Amino acid sequence: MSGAPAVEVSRVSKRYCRSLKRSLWYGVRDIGNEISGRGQQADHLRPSEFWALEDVSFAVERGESLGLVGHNGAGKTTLLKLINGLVKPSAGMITVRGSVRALIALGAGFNPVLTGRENIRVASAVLGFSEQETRDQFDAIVAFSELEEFIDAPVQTYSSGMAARLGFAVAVHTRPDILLVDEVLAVGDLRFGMKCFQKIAEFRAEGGAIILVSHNPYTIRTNCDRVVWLEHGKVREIGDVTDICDAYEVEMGRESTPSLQQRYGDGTIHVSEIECPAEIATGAGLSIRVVLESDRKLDRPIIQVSFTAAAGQHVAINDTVTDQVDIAIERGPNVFELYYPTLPLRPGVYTFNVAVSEQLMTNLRLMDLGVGRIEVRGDRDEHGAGVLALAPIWHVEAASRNEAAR
Amino acid sequence: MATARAELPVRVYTPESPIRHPLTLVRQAIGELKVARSLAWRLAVRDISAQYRQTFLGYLWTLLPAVMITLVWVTLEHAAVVHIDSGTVPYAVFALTGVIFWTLFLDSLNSPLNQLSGNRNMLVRVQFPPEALLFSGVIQVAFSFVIKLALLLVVAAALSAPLQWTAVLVVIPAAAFVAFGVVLGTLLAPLGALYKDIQQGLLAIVMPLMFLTPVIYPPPETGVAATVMHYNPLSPLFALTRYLLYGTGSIAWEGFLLVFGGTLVVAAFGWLLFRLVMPLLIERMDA
Repeated sequence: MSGAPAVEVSRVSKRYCRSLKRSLWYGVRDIGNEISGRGQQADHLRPSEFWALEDVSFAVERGESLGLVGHNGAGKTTLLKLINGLVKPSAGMITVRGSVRALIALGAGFNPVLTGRENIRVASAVLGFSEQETRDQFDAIVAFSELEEFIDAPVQTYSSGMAARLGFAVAVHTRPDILLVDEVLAVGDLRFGMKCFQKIAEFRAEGGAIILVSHNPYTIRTNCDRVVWLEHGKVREIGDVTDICDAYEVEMGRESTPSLQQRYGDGTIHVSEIECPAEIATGAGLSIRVVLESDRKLDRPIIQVSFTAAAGQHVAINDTVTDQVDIAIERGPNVFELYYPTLPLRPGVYTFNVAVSEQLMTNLRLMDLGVGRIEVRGDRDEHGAGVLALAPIWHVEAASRNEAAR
Repeated sequence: MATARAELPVRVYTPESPIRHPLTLVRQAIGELKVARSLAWRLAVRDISAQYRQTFLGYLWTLLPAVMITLVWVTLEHAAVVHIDSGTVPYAVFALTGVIFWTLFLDSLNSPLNQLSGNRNMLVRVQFPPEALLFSGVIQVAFSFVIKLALLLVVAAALSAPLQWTAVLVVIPAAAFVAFGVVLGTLLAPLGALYKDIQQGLLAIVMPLMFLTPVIYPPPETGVAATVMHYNPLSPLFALTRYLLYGTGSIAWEGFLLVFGGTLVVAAFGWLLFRLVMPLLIERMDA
């Protein structure tokens, strides 16, 4: 019994309906099937339906942390809802051994008019604490949320970050056997997020099983042992965290490029030509040549260039005003050349963006996102995680090693 | 967590309907009752304190609707627009009694659906015994009823209505009103959670239904209305209420027991149905 996995998902499928009207009517029919004992077993789709999950199987052992990655709509949240028993599968079987809690910002159970203190009591009850447990944990929850001063103020006077902190503080104090974490720690500040992850690590050390959903491969890398990669409701790959995250990051870079290629502006000016290498090595220099075709002479033009990482974060932004470069844009083609002596980016796919404005940064004439696409090559494992490929030189003294051992 | 590893609860989710294993279904439902009860209490406290915190008059607002309807009818009666023979009970007391118990029924009827829609956010995110919502609804209905009942007793005493010592037993018909309303509301809730028509429909039939029930006038002796009121399941409840409070009219014991007993039997089924369909409703709820 103790050897059995905490969560076993076996050939699970779930169908959902895209059309609201139909969905309601199917709801009535499903209720009928449930009452008559026929159940929800389904091997086909009705009109307007799609497989939110299709033939998904995996298991999570005790003390293991499993990551779920995949694009929006890949079925990650649906899967968590099924494991949590909130909705029923259309096929397959889910076995859950132990109590399950979802770690979510329970703004859900909160009433804005009530004080933080009152809301902690409600949220605890909703998450299954007994009255006694709530009393015992109350001080710890308040301390964790760092809201001691505001605990008797109505939650509607809190900032959204404070409310989220209060919600997590309650949630991380539940002691389930299986913890489901859905993308939650994205809200709130970094430091508080770290605190939550620390709690999650403690929970795991005590033998709890974790299923963690995140868009951020770094979160998955640092918190999970194994990963399930979902794509359009199906398991694309399952396996070791490094292998899957590497593959997923490459894929994310590849796919996000076309969607990022967006052009805005008033049509005064456009990029008629770009020369930009498709591939460089980590840390190598980079030359880019851009030809801007303009309909007229621009008055005090400003050019802004930037790099964006696959996950969408800006890596670096530079502009001609801050860099104190005098430029002019005349009618016709205008050639600009840029040279980056070094581009110490981690391996991955990055996009190059160009924006042109007149007089003020806000008078945008052109914004061409993803006009260039650069794949940075290198040894993935060499430079840790993040955006920059820094290669720190470590110097460890014998004394501090002894200290750490103690 | 590490202590009870040997007897970890095992849950299996399949497409199969739990109704195929009715014993397990009942055992699970009963097993979660304790948790549901304490959660219901918390939710009720939350809703009651939140509801009136932003008001100046607070709980007095509970009384206003019933008082307004009563005043309208007392005025009509006083101006002889309508003539209603309420016997030894002053008409104002008679009407207020009817309206308060009618509201008790209505609040109970609407409570399951209101609870479902008011707690959507929680339902789609957290797994908890869903009957907690039903119980929380009952606690809230009972709370507002107690305030109204206090008003009724004050008014009755002030207008020297013939209050009986049996008035303390009025909790029995009150419980029957709540049970009847909540059970009916629970049976309608699954459909009502999907289609807004149910809520609209309830709104539309409430008024006519009130006139077919001995709320603001006693049941007539003859005519179509007499037949309708005879078969109206709420009639015996109103009859018992007024008998216990003021000793007027007669009690149709068999009618009352039939309605109350029937309600309790259906309640068991309604409860299981509610648990059964909850995952199907959650699937179609947006947060």
